Amino acid sequence: MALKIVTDSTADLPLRWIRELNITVVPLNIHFGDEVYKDGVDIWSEEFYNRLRNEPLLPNTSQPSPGEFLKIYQSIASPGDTIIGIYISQEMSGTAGSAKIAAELPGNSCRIEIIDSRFVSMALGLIVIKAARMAKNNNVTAAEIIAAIHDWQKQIAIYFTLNSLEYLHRTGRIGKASTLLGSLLNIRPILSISDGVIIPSEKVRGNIQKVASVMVEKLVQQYGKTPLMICVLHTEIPEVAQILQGIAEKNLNIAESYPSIVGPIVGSHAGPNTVGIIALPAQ
Amino acid sequence: MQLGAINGSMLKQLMASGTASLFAHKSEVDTLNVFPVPDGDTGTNMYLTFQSALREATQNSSDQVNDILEAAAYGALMGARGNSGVIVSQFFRGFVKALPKGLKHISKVEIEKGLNGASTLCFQAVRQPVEGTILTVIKEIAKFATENLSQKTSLDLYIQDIYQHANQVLAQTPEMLPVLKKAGVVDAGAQGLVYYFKGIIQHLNGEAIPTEIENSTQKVTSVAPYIDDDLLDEGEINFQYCTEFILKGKQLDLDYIKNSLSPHGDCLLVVGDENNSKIHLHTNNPGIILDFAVRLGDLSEIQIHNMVEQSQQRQAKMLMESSTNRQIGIVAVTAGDGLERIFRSLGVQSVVNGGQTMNPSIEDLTKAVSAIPSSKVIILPNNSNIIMTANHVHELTPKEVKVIPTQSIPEGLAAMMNFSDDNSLDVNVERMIEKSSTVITGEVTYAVRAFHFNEQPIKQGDNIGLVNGEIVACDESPELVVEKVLKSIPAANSGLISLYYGHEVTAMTAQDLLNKLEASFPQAEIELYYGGQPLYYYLLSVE
Repeated sequence: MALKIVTDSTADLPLRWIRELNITVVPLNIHFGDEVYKDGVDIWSEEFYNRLRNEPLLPNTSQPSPGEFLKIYQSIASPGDTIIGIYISQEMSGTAGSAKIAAELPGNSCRIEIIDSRFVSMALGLIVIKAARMAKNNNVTAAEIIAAIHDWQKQIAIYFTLNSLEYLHRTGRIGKASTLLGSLLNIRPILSISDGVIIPSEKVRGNIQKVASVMVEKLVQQYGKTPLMICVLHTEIPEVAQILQGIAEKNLNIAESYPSIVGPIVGSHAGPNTVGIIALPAQ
Repeated sequence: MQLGAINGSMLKQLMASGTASLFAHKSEVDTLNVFPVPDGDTGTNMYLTFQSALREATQNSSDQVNDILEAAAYGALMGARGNSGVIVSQFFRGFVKALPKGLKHISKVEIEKGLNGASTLCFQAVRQPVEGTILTVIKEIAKFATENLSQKTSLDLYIQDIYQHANQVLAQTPEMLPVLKKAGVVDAGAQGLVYYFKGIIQHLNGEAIPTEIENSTQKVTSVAPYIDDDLLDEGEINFQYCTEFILKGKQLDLDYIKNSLSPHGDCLLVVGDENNSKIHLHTNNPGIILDFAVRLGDLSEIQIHNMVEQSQQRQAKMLMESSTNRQIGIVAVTAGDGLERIFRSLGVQSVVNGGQTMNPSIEDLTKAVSAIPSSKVIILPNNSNIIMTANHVHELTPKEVKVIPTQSIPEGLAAMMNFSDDNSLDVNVERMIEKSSTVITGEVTYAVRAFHFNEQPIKQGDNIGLVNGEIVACDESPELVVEKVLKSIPAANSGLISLYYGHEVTAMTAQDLLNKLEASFPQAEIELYYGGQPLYYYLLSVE
């Protein structure tokens, strides 16, 4: 009668939490031409970014097949168990669709709930961490966890900035931020996610320090002194992430911090030099 | 040939033939891929999925068609790649689910049942089914199969007719899905499925399947144009001319051609055979390419497009399109081609030419407001003498008009930083006013009459500098004035300085000034833009 938490590799969860909280992560696929890799299984961030820098070929990504989900469902659950799968926004990927097809196949012995988180990366990751913590409590039901997830979805905030909108545009994930394309002034966009898609939140002129302050300022306005779970994450710019972390620590009430790096799948779409911050009330 | 029914081993052969046919065309299908995201992998994804289905089906030793199709469905499910792959997996599963158990043969009835079952499940698998895709083809052939089931045709003719119908629906996909029409292609997933069916038909007709499309000349001319040129226009274009032609010759060595051309550009494509090949390349010197090719054979269907020009046209069109969908329109008053472009790139739809010595009339502004489709319009006067005029525009138009009292160009640009069409008009006005008041404006121009500044006489034509409208500096050259102006603004030491140079300043002079300023203000961030404005050598802002 156990509750099992499953997510996908776009959650960018640090390995420590995957292990500690017994979270199952289903890998998405990365394609470099005809070569296919499973994210976090046979390709990792370091190798991936190396290739991204050194090869002319830009990678594509694809959702896990329904069959891969089926295998995982069968391997982790016993009859009577409940699997709660929390996945990347369906506006960005068909992953939840594959999970759902697999859930409806004959051969599953347990109950399977599928939740479209409406987010990606550690915004999805923080929700998964909270859900996995809750699932450890024997007295909690699946319905309670799902209700809680719906609350967290309303409370979470994500702000990030990219070096170029080109990557998001190339793979069709730019969402409403397309209005920022083609600006002749040197503008750093601050993006967010709303209703499952990327939206422009702010346009900032100035250096990354300025951008970082604006991102934190937005969180201060939203949360005041509420104790927060915070994640600062980046693609290969730890020094910038450190600046952002510093500003966040000075201005926000951080109860728990989950630094992470952007994984290969999200990195394929966000491109290099991405940095962002995610906040979710700790309680 | 007259086909009565399809048994298990025939079914496997048909699946092998369909998969081989798709393999032969997979690169072509990849280039068609514009929907839902143009990542150019539909052909590959579908092929890998069909291949996985075939592998499982072939390994299944049962003589029952259900078992073989179940195995194929399982294989597709395991190997499904991408959206199109998931749909293929549901196609197999829906097909077999609709059949009665223990079947040894498939005849017309089973095909009809199977296709309808496939159609139902495929539509369920997609969260928001879109017409003009592989789903439409599946749905329409299922319908066609039902409508023609009672015709007294043989099984193979029945299948042929279904295939013909699939082709017709495929050809209509651009009419159903605008993004396809815009790119001039049929839907990639639909095309992939039709190629799979084509392989089945070829097998039924006893024809051989070409193993590689590169050996099939008649296909060469129908290779889709490189879609990335048309849809991904924001990137830097390193090679300006898209060059395409057909080369007819004898014993053409395609590898030699590839190797010879690849240093001259990117996106190189050489397909065809030793007599007939299609060459596509982005290059900065089409002459060299044609000169090389003409030595190898005859050239035909030569096409050269300037992609920079195309990209500019597309951007203009994109701006037009985005402006027609906007809730809130924006009119800005400015002078100079550079500043006009900058304002437009930030989302201003209508620019009224004007400024210090040419104040636009109420009529000019009203016309600009009327020309914008939106019923709510924000005006950026960008000059203190124009604010009052702008305030009267609302009396002459039924539209809701708000004025952000921007007194300078930099204030107007700053205001645009806080514009978002997702916010209400009132929220935008509030945020834009707030933002515009945070910049300090500097102007460097010349005196239009003689006067005294700090008891120092200024002659007509002397270079003077102003900060927020007050004279703070004069000097021999506009560049020296810029430096003095910046030194009078404490925030310049660590802030963001934007410099817009005017019509009378050369790019080189402006660049020299930038270098100098970077040395004198090491803590500041300085950005230089071409403004093209008259009267003002430089406009600048500090924020």
